Amino acid sequence: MVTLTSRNKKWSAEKLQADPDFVICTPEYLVRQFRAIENVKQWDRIARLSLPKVAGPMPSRVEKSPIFSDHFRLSGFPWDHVLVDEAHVAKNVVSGIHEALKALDYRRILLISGTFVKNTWVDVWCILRLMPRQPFQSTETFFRVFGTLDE
Amino acid sequence: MTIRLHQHQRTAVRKLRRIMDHPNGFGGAILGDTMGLGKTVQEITTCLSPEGTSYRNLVVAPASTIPIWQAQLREHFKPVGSCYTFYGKGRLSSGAHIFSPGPSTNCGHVDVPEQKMVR
Repeated sequence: MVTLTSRNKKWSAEKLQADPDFVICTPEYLVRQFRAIENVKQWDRIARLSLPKVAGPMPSRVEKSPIFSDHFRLSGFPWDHVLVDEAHVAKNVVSGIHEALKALDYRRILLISGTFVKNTWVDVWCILRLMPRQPFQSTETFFRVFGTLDE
Repeated sequence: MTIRLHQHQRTAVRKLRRIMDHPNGFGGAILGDTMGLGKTVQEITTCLSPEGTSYRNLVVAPASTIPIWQAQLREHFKPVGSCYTFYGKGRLSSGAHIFSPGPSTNCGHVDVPEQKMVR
């Protein structure tokens, strides 16, 4: 691995993250980390496109985000398994936890829940969307297979 | 692994592995057992590799079930293996800090005894 001397510490710290067999976190933690990364990315986009004055100062409270780190993606270390306990928390497509889970880089996902269909049968589609290779190409496909579309 | 799985758990683990590793599959599986059938143990067993090489697993679980996860990992999987826990905002950290967390990041550290699968 070739890196600057000043980055050595960061690399070794992130390598530490590569070692544990199990990392447990709460959905709230995941969402917060995801939002922090997104804020920095957005600031970066604005700063590149416009004058620095428009973008304002860089988000100061940049949290270290080991779970969403680009280093893993770049060095080819995706998560082998992501286990989502009580997977019905991610049943809403526009919710933060759903987006945060989608943004993770993983090979396999295991979704566990005792109550999958909590409100409507469409909840199933939202949970199936989390799989790396999706069974259905789009929401329309899912509706065509399992339901009828009313005009 | 130091526990013996029940028949239905063994069947589930076998099926989950087959579904997740299928080349034409979707890379994921859904486990929808009801309460009390031992979902956590099945998940953990599914995520351990039979060859003994270590996988990197991320568990996303509500805060109320995190102690159960830690206890299950500690109790049933011996020896090796390490496990880090990150809590959401407002929780006190337990144990050593890893990865120099920010002011609002709390993370705890739990040592899980070495994992070893004995069939």
